[in-house]
Amino acid sequence: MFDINNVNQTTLDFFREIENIGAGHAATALSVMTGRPITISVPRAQLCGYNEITHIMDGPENVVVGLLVGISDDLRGFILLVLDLNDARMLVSTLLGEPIENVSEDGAFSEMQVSALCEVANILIGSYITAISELTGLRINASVPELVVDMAGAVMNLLAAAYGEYGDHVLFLETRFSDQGQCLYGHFFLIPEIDSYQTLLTKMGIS
Amino acid sequence: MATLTIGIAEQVVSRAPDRLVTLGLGSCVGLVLFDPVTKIGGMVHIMLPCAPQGMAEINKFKFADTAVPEMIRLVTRAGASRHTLQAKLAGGAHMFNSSYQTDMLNIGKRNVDICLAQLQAHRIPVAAQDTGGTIGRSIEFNCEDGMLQVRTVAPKTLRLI
Repeated sequence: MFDINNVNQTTLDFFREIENIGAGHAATALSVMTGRPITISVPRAQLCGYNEITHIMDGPENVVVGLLVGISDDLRGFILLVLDLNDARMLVSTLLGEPIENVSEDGAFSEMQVSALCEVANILIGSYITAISELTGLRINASVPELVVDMAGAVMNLLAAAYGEYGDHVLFLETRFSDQGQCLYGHFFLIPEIDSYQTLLTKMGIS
Repeated sequence: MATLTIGIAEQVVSRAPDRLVTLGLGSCVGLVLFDPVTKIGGMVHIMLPCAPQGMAEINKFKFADTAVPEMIRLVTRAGASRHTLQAKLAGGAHMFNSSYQTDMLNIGKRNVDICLAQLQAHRIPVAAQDTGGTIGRSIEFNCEDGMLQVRTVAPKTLRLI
C-alpha cells in the first residue's frame, strides 16, 4: 500500500521527471497559443503538510484561481492547477490581447476570460497527462476543466479531502513559466486516488 | 485581548476577551463550542467526516466524529459548563461543483452532517450555522459576546451569526 507519509527520493525524482516532460510539452503549446516564447524553470516536487501548502500560496486567504480536471480510466483522481489571481489576470490579458486593466481585479472573469483560462488548463494538464501516459503506458482520460476563484485555503481543501484519511502530507509539484521576463507560477497538484498512486509506481517499477 | 489562529486539523480553547480565528475554510468545517456564562470557547478546524477504523494513532481534531467529543472534553475541562454549552459552525462548502461527482467532492456536506449528528447526540444546541454553498469562508469567534464573524472573498461579504 502506498504510504503518502513515506515517499522516497526515487519517487520524487520520478514525479520531477514527469513534470519536466509534461511542462516541456505545455510550454511549447502555450508558445504556439500566445505566439510568444515561453520557457520553463526546473520543476519542484516535494511533500508538504496541509498548513504548509497555503503558505506556498501566500496564506490561506490569498485569492487564487483553481482549475480542476478529473482523471479516470487506469488512473483515477484529479489534477489541480492553481494560479495566483494576478498571474491568472496576466495570462488572460496575454491570451486575449487585452490590457490587464480590463481583467477584473477581484477575479470576476467574463465568460470569454474563463474560457481562455480553461483552455490553458486543458493544454497544461493535457500535456501532463500525455507525459504520464507515454511514460507509463497507462490509459488516462481527462474531464473538462472547472474554474474556481476563492481563498487558497478553501481551494486546497480538496487535497485535504483526498488524503486526510491516509496521512498529513500531499505531493506538491511546481513549475514556473516565464514569458519574456514576465514570470508566472503554475502550481500543479497531482491528486491520484491512493490506489492509483500504487498503480503508477508499480507500473514504473518503483516500490 | 489575544487573537488565536488555528490551522487545519488544529484546535484552541480560550476565554473572553480572546478571539479565535481560522482562515480559508472550503469543505472543512470550523466548529465553535462555547459557554455564554463563563465565556469560555473552543474552536476546531475539521477536515473529514469520520476517522478511519483500526488506525493506531490519529489526530482526533481532523475528523468530525472524534473532534466533537474531544472538544466537549477540552472546553469543560477549561471550566465551561456542560449544560450551557452551545455550538456554532461554518464551512462545509462544495468548492468544485462539477459533473464528475464523487464522494470526495461532496465531503463538505458530510462534514456538516456528522458535526450536527454528533452535537445532537451530545445534546448541544446549535446556536447558529453558515454552511454549504460553493464559497470559501474565514471565521472569527468573539468569546466576549459569543458572536461568530463569517467572511468571504469572492464576492466580498461579512456577516455575524
